[in-house]
Amino acid sequence: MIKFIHTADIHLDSPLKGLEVYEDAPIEEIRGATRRAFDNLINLSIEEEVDFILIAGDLYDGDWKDYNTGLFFSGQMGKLSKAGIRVFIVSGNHDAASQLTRAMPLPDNVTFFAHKKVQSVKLDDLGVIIHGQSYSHRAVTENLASGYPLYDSDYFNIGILHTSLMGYEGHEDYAPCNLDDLTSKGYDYWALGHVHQRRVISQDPLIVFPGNIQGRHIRETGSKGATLVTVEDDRTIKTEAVELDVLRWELCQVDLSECETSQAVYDVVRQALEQEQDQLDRKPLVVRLVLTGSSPVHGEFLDQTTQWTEGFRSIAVQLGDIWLEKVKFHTTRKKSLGEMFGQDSPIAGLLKSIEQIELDAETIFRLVPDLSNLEKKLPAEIQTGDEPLIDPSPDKIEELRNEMQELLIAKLLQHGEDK
Amino acid sequence: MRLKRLDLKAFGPFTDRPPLDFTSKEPGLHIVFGANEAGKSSSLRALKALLYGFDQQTPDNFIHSYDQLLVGGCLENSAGQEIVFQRRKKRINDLIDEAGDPLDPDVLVPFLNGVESNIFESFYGINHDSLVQGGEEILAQKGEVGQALFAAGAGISSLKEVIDQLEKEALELFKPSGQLPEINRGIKRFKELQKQLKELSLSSKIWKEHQKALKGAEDERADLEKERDQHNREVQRLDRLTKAIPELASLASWKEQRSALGEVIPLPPDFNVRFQQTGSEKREAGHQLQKDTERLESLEEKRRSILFNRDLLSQADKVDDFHQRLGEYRKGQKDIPERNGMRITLRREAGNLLKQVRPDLDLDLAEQLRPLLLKKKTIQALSSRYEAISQQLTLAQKKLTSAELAIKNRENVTVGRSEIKAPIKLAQKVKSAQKAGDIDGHLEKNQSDVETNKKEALAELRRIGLWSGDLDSLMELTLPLSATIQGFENSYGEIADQKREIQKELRTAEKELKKIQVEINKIVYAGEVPSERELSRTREKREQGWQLVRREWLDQENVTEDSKAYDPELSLVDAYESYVEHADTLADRLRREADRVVSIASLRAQEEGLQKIVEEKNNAIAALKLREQKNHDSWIRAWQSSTVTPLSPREMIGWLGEIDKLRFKVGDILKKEQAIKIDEQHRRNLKQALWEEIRSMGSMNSAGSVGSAGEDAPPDSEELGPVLVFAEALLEKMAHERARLEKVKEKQAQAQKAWAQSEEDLKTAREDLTDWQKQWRKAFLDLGLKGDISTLEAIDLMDNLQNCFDKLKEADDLKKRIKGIQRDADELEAAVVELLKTVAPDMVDLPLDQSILKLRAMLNQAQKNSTLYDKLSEEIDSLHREVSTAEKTLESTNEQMKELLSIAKCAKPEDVSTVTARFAEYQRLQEKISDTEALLARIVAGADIEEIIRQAAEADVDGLPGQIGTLQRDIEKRINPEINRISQIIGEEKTRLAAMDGSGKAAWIAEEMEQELTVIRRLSKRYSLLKLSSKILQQEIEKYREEHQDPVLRIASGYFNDLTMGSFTGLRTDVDDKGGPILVGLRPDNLRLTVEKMSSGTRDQLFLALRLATLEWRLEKNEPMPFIVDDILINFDDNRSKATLKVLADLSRKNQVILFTHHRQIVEEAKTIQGNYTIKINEL
Repeated sequence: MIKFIHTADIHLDSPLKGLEVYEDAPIEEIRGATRRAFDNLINLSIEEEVDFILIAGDLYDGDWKDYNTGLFFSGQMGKLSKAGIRVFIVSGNHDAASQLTRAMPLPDNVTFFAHKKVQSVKLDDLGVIIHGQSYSHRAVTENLASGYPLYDSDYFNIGILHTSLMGYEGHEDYAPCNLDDLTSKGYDYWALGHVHQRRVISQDPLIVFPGNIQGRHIRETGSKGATLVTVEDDRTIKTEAVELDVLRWELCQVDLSECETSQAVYDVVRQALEQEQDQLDRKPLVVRLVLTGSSPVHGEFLDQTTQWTEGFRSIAVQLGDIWLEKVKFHTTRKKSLGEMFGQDSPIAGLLKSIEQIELDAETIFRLVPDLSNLEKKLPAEIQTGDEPLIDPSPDKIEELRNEMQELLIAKLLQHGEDK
Repeated sequence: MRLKRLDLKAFGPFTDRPPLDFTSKEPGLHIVFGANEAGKSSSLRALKALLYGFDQQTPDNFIHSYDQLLVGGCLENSAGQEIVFQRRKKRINDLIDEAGDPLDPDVLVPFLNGVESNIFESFYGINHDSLVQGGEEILAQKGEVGQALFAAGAGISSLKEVIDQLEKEALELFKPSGQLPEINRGIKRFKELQKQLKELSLSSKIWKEHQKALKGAEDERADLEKERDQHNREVQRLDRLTKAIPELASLASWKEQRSALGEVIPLPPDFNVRFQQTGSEKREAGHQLQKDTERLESLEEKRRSILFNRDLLSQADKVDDFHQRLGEYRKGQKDIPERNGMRITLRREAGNLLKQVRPDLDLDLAEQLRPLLLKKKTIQALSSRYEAISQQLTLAQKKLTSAELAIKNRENVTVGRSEIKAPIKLAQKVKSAQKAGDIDGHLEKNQSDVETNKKEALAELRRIGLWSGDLDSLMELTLPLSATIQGFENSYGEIADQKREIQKELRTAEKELKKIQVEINKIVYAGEVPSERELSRTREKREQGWQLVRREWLDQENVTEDSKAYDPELSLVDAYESYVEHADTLADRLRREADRVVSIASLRAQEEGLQKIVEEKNNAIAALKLREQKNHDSWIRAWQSSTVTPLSPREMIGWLGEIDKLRFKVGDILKKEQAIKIDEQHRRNLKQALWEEIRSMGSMNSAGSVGSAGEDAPPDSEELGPVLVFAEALLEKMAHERARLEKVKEKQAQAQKAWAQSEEDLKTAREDLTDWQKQWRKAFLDLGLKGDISTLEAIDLMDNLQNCFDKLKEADDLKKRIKGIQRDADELEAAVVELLKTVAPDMVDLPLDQSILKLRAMLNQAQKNSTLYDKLSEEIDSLHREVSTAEKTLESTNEQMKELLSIAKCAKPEDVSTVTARFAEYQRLQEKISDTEALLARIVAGADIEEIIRQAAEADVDGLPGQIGTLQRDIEKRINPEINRISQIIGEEKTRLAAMDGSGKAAWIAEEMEQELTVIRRLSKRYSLLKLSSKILQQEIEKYREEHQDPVLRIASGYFNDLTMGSFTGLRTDVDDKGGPILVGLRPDNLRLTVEKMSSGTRDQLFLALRLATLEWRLEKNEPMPFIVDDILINFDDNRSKATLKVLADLSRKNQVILFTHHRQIVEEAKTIQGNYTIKINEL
């Protein structure tokens, strides 16, 4: 019987994204999450007495240069070495260029596959042969799989590869290949990496993306971990997804249609959060609250975003072990703004203007020079990141229009009725 | 849509109230009237609740609880549809039909036309507050047309506040050059974290470098330590050799000497001592024996020669006794004749004494006179008594004589003296005059004081000055109050302060101005500075030129004259060209030298400002001077009544103070003058009284014995003193006369008494003398003495008798003594003779004292010889014992010597010394050898000695210390410091590597950076949203104005005319200073009035006009909705209320208007509106 763990996309020591610190937020609970998840992996391997571990790329995050991370990894490998567990690693797009990968001396139990050509390592005591090739640089666009050798019939054949296959949404296209490229090799198990969502691509042969071991932002929700593979003597293979993450990311959508008062809103949100918490067994939770439904409270949300967000956060703090990542106010009015204001009121004209105005960066900066000033001051991470100050994507622009309309209406009506 | 009916079923104060009916043919003006507390506000809320449901909280549950609240009504839309329904306060199914069954909320859609609750309130509701606010808002915007229209059009009264809020929130988020806004802070924090991350991050290169450095250093240190060990071992080896080589040489030498000694007889360790001792003991014993034997023989010879008298020795005690008694014997023999002589002399003296007493009596019969001595005391006492008695007698006779004489003298003196009476009345007057004290001095002093004070006061008054006159008029002088003067002082001071202050400011400004002018000159001197004004002037000139050129060129005009006027010197073309060029140059320079232009402009501005300040300050000073003059005039006026010409208030305060002091003083002086007058009257009275009394006494005196020719009459003066003194002298004289008379009488009585006493004493003394004479005779009577004897003779006689008896007794005692001496001499002689008979019979015949002395000498010689003999015998015995001991010792030493010789294997004692000397040398060498061997063993420290010997043989002895030194220096100077240095490096490297512990600190910072980024992202988005929204809103307002200004303003103009009852004929737009469009009201005379100049009520009406106009304009395209007006007429005067009602009535022809009011007057006025209007009134 052979027992091994297949994991990938560990992104050791990469930070969690999209979190804002607020008062009483569970900072300690989320600190060093990827490390602690990796700890879980090591402990699991030792408990399960596996024969070896496969790491299918992206052990480190691309531009992370702190050698301490390498030292930590090396230390963990030392633990495995003591337990007699071997480790096989290919690099992926993220760690191909990493100094950590290149410079770190590793114990003898660790095999780092070369990047120049495919390497096949035989484990004669187990009757296993592992074929693998590392990335030579970040953006490998050639089909690496096609270069893998055909199976060796005397062994249990494992292919280890970091690939986007035919492409996945939210994942960059690297070392592309199709299913045939893999199945045609005649291997028993393809240990893939790159896609952060766990996926079993094929049952025969088994082609598996184990997903990453710890969610790092709101797009990585749900349970995260590795795949524990058991190969019986008759070569029947059993796979099991094991949970390793130390905190969970969840989207929590709450319908506020029934809520007419702010108290009702808070009550509903509290219930929803409690429900989320119940589903997890005492694991810290990072939640994005998405409020939907047409509610009379809608108008207040945009006017008083900050106050509402703080209100929801304090609920999270009261419940404990919940980090409220963000609150999305996706509620709507019972009537559309068009219906409300007809065609000829000044407000209708305002709404229409907002609908029609060009919202490309150039126009915006011309209209509001202060925004251009702001953009110049922002850290490069924002300017070059996924969420630039002025997002040119159509749905973002639409969102902006909508927010402007709602904000102005809220303000205008508030001053119309109160005074 | 129109509201046809409102049912107040259970709401506020209402319970099943009959419905409010709003049905009418036209939409109509519906007035709902309710006095206070009648439920006007409740019914207004009920109307809203009916249309849009109940508020979450409502104050209308004071009778009916929330779940009981119920309103109902009927609506009709323009399509003619009608709906009757009711509403409860419920979250769902609040809409019910008449039967109470739930209705779908959508049934109201065709009636409300999608107008939401808050939209309804904004567009179709107006109350007093929003009206006032709208009016104020128009003012705040100064009638800015866009905002006024937009606000009115949207039913929003506070548009500016919306924009302000957006901008304010945005400013709190970000400022391009700020530090505090949240985004700025976030960015700063992010940068700090970035720096921290860089510090905490560990690069692989560094780690490897340290790893390598550590390994290298450790290897190097191990090598050095090995080398040091080797060096140390070699040093030890060489050191051993150096020490061992001399010792090895010594060892060899000792061993050689030992073998050269040959055979040696071993001797016991104490042999030498014993041999020496035995030899000397033997010699000593021989000497002793010989010496003792010789002395014994000599002593025995000496003893045999001593002889002595043994009998005499046994009687030694007796001989001593005799010798002692010999002295006594010799003295007795010498005394006897002397004593006999003394006895005879004494008896002769006694006989002479007796003869003086009783010449008739023999010495042997003297004893019969002894009784007379017993009366000696009595005779002595009588003698002393006689002395006292005779003295008393003499004294008494003397006293008697003097008393008789005194009596005779006194009797002449006392004859013819009469009594003198006491002058009581005069004494009383004197006393009361005395009581007045030194009234003369007092008065004189006061008068002179007053004089002096008056002089001083006048002098003081002259010194103070400013006013002259006598003291009385000074007291009556009228002067201003010191508070008044203080007031002037203050105002003078204040003016002076202000002046000083302003002058200071003026100087500063002038200084500043000069500085600025210098600056300006600096710039101007550096080259002419172009100015905007110059440019515009040049451009104007250029434009004129162009016009001329154009006229000449295009219009073919003759412009020669104008050209001359344009430029008298240059031709038009050249002149124009030069202006064009000049204008360009100027413009270029303005741009190029913008800095200079700006600075000179700024300097000029400053200059102007400063000049203005200087001017202002000068004006201020002039004004102050005027004020100062006025102040001074009133100051002078304040003193007019006093004829004093005042100095400055400060000086006058001092002056007034001194004048007040002086006036106080003068008051005192006047008081004192008054007191003096009173005192003078008092003195006159006292003097008069005394005078009269003395006068009456004078008449008495002439009659009596007192007044005598020598007395003066009392002095006549103002003063009391002389009269008083006269009276006092008179009184004293009378008292003295009386006292003298008393004394004479007393002395006469005393003399009489003394005479009587003296007579008595004389008589007693004579009696005592007679008695004494009797006793004296009796004392001597029985003794047979002849005749009387005086007291002195009697004492002498008694003394002689006593002496006689004493001498007789002394002679008797001497006789007894002579007899005793004779008896002792006889006894001694007998005892001596007896002893001599046995001891020295040949001496019996010798005189007693000689034989005693000779015996004594013989005894002494015998005692000396006996002592010598005993001593010799004792010494002889001791010598015998010593001789025997010496013989024994000699024998034992001989034995010992024999034994020692056998040990040394010698025949004779002389041979022994050779044997012992050799043995001693052998022992010495043996000791040296073993010492050296022990030392060597220590040096080689357990190594094989043979090996050492071998190495020593090979070693270069002289080179050894050099080799050791070299090695040690190498260790000290090179190896050890190097090891230390490398150890330090190793320590540092280890510390560094330990710090590279694989910790996640950098990762944590990265997490914090992500968190900060998230904040910045969110805030930036919010900022963008706010800024964009604000901008778009402003643009929209402008756009709205452009589009709606004309039609809405036209309608609003009409409303404004109606509402102000023609006070304004309409509204127009105008432009303000900045060129922005503003609203103005048009007066009938076409005067344009900006909103600032309108009354607040008019502005309210302006806002109302705009609201109504918008509403009317909307009607053209939208379904009408009831216009709810809540008591907006409160602040309108009667006429304008009426006008407003009329306007609303006009509107109600097209659109339902529901007016809620508290005021009945409104209802009454509504009823009087002329015209064919539908006006319905509902009263609550």
